[in-house]
Amino acid sequence: MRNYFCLLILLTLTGSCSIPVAREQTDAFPPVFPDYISAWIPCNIAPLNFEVGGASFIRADISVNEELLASLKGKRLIRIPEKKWKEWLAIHKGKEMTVEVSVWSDQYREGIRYAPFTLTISPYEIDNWLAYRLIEPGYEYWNRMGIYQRDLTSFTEKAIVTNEQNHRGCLNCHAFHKFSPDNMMFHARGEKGTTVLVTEGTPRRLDFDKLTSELRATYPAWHPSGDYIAFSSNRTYQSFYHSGKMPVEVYDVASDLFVYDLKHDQILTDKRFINPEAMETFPSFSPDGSTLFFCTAEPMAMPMENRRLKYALCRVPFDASTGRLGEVVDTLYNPQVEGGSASFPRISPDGNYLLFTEAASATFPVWHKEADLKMIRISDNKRIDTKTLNSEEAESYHSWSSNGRWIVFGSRRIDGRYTRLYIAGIDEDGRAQKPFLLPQKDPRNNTTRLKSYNIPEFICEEVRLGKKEIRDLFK
Amino acid sequence: MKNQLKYPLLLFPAVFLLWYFVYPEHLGAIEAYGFFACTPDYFSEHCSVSGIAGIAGDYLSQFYRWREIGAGLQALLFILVLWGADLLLYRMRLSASGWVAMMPASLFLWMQLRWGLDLAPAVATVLVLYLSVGIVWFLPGKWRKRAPTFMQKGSIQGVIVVSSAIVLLTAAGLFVTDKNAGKKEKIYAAENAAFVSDWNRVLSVISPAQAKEDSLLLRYTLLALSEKEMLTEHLFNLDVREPECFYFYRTAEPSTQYFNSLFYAGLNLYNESIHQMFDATTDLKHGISFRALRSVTDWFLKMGNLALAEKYLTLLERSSCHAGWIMKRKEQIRVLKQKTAPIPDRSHTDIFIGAYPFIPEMWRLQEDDPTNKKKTDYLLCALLLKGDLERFQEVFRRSVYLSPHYPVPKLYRQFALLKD
Repeated sequence: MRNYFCLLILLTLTGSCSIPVAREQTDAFPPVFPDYISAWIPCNIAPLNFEVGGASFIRADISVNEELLASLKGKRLIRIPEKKWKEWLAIHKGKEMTVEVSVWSDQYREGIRYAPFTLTISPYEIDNWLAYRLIEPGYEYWNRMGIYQRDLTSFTEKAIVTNEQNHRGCLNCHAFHKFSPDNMMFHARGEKGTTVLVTEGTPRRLDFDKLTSELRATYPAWHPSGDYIAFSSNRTYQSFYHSGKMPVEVYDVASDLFVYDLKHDQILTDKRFINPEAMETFPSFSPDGSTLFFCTAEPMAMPMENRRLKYALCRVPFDASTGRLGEVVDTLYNPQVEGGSASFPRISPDGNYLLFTEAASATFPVWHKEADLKMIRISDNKRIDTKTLNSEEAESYHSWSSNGRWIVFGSRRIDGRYTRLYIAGIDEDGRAQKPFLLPQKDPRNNTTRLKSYNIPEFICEEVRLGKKEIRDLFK
Repeated sequence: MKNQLKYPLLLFPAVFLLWYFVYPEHLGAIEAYGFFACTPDYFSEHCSVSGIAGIAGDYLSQFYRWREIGAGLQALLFILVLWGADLLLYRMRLSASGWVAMMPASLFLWMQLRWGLDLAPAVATVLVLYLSVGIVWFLPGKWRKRAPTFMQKGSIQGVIVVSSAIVLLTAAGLFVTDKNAGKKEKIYAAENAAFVSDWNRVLSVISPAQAKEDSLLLRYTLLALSEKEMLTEHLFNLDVREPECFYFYRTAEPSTQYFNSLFYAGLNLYNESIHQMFDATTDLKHGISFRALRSVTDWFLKMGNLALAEKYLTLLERSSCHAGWIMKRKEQIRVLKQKTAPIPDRSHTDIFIGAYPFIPEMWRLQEDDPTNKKKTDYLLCALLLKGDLERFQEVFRRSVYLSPHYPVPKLYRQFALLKD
């Protein structure tokens, strides 16, 4: 009797551990979300959990070089065990991982096995952390917002600073000096607003209104030496369209450039870039600090002339010994020739490539469906094909990883409204790989999250700022 | 002990009826302004802020969508407080002073009204009370007092009962006659009816006198009249002085933004409806609400933006009481996917809402969409309010009223012919 009972238990356990085999087969790839098919992934990225819409049961067989690593199962979702995933990536760097998915659903009650897809495990790592702001996508007011950081090797997301620390004010424009979590800045607007500068992990107030009454610090760019920060000073407005998929136009009516000298606590200006005849914005230094890139446009009567407002992309030499801008201004992107408007120039860490966003007009491309990422090879001003990166919806803010092998950018390709983050590999020749969505523990979180990701910036380590330390800055 | 549990139950129907008949719209508003969803973001954002009471309150708020359940839950919370207080007294051997339990319970009844639409304080009160009961239950006997003997006499019992009744009736009186709550009840009634397009109800809850006294109620009245195509008949009966009385121009106050979202929805300007609704909800505890989610889902459906409608439906699926509502919308989406043309990214003319006062804005909107009768009526009425007969006739001569399908309202007939 006892033996019979043990056998029964054994059979039950064995039966419950076996994974069914699909009856049908197809050459098509599985409709997984996110679309990780043929993705090129860092060797230290978090598990690429995925789901299949409409599935009641999923089986996923993961293998490398035909060696089966695991057969996973789930109802709607495949969760890859984190520890095992890290081991696989570490061991199989530079190789292709194959994922064969079988799905059981109302349509395929006996199951259907899809063509296996590959994930290429790049030998290059990605920076461990990514900072971004989370905010409702648009309009005039906000409730909670904050600047957050995400461990890219896991699913951990933590707050760097939230607006509970600054009287529910606005937080924006975080920027890090050379990917360092200990040397960074962000703006805090509202009651007792200021710019918070963190130096060697210690935050302090940087009240620009005490240095200048005419300029306000908006978009920042750290000089690689850490001695300067270039800012644009923007007067920004928004107007609301009565119809059409695009609900908002955000625009500047004036903007100028200036440089803040950290060592001497002074503002350096150049009359050429502080005048109402032109608007300058989006400063960005080259990695060697010798050049400042920026966007510029002739002011228009806004918002009515918004379709005529187009920004050029220019560069000017920068002398780090004096903090002064050089004489010659080069144009890299001319809207009169190209027809569009450039934003967000960012140079690769090796100094070879300039990535920017091109929209049909104006200066806030995330609201422009046609906005795409574009790349120029700086040595000869040649355009690099970036079709792989772009979609039918807006691609917008982007940044480079510290090793220059990865970029992260915001895209609204999922639903046209909520910005989500995509990572793409870039090889030595500037060629982009297929981007993949920032992994989540449950991909459905991309849908249920009611905030957009804003200003993604890589950091090499976790930012550790004391909550009380920050709160005290606003007392 | 049985009595401690039995007598409070007798009050359940009374408290139920108070809520159900005196403040039914408050109950509906608790759900409309509430939010709960089983998502990581909800729990991570609200766990730290509001704690268990907040989450429990949010969870319960979903059921207030049905007034009967809402009134029942409000009465239940009251009974729980009364029970808890009774249990405390019983355990402290002070049952003879049972009337004391009426005091916190009566105060609770009144505070439920003062706490407004947030159930967290009520739930927290119940939780703290029962925690106290738990602690007291296990106190050693010597720490628990016995009521003085004289308090157990019959005459004193009579005093206890009468005192309880006085305390409770006073609380009920304050509850029923609270002017602030009464005013809010009126506004919630108008809002709740307007958001389900029950324009007859909007007109029945707001009297002309109330419309004249309150700017928000006036606008709800005008909106209802517009929706029922009765604006021209009643406009000048309502003491409307200027076109800005139709809506709220450049407002930051949530109740007025809610109104504006409906105003623009009535004109099929869903971009602006969604803008106003999202701005209104930023003031709420969660930055979003059930009403907002339902409204924007329906507005995106009307715009043909199915991807966003589906997103909000996915979020609503994480709440408890939307299954039927979601199923209907999913069916609509299934049908619309087969026939909906892509939405144009931009309109052929750029009209910026909120950039101009009422007449220039409505002028542009009416020019852009001359067959829209509501926009035409708003513009014609606005021009009449301003006494601008020349432009009134210019607009009239290009309006839908030139078609025999649209009878000319008496109000327009007077002024359309005046110049000639």
